[in-house]
Amino acid sequence: MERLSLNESPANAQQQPQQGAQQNHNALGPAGQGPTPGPPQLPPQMFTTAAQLLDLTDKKLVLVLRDGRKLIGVLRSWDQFANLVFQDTIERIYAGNLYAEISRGIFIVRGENVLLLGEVDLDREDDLPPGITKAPYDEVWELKKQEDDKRKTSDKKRDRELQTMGFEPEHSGEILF
Amino acid sequence: MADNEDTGAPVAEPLDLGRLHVSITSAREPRHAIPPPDRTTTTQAYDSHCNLVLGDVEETIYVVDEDDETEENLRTIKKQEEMLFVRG
Amino acid sequence: MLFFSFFKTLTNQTVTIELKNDIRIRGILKSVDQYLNIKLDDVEVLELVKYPHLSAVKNMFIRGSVVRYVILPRSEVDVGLLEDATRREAANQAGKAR
Repeated sequence: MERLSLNESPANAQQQPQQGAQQNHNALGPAGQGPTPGPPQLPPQMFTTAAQLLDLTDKKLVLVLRDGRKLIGVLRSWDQFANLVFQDTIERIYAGNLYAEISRGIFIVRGENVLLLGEVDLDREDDLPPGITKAPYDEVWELKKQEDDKRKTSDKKRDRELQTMGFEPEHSGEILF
Repeated sequence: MADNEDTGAPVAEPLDLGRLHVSITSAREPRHAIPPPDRTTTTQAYDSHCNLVLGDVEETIYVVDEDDETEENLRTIKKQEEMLFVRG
Repeated sequence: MLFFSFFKTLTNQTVTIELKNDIRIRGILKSVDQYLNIKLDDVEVLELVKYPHLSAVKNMFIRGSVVRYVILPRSEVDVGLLEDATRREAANQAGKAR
């Protein structure tokens, strides 16, 4: 795994074998490249997960998980299942017109929990929609909890109503937002 | 996924499906349904995972509105699309 | 592989993707893979006010499994070709099953 030369923290390195994407990295990864690789030398017709994620490697990304969590960090490694390693991750929570951040460190995310990855436009990253302001974490977390509870109650009501019409909910709120 | 209301005629040709009324209700997505519409919706493509491409689709979304915690109103939103890929 | 090939023919077209959590994202389809994971460029999130965390995002990797719909530009779809491909795919599947 040549890519571990990217003066990473050891925690990241140790987890590497779990990712099981050696072939991909060897075939497609910029082996031994510095932290800011140039544009990947791939033909545009490489329609593989590897090619898609390669473009995003070592960039600052927003990672949205299936449970609604929003993580912002640098994508360092991945495999064909979109299992991911994120470095210098912060978690952002939003509630009402407030948001808060908390530092989380390194993440290894199992691919099935990934909803989407968005590349942050560094020129615009501080432009939040108007009216949204930063607040202390505890305060926003409390507010978010209230919002989540409220939504859960109304989702339950909705499901009950829809069940009378024959719509059968298989799970309640697995994909939250 | 597709119900053949016409007869019990077997679906011999793959795109015979396209001539059926396509009616989709999803267990996972209870609010979203693509009901048998005015016989215009066609199945353009499908595969073994039940991924579909449909033409001239009308989607009906069922929304439950709440008034003051007690009263619940069911309303529907309809959306039209010319062509739609539906994940199986 | 039918839809994988199909989406490949739609690269560089503008599509709108609706996710299973109701987010709708419009963008230029840049790439797709065998799981129907999708890369979008120049993304525009509809109802952005509801999803502030996506406000500074310029391109996106969307995991295929969370897609509900992809709204396609009808004018760019060769319906005849698509139906033919479906017949072939179905015939293949039937052959395999036997």
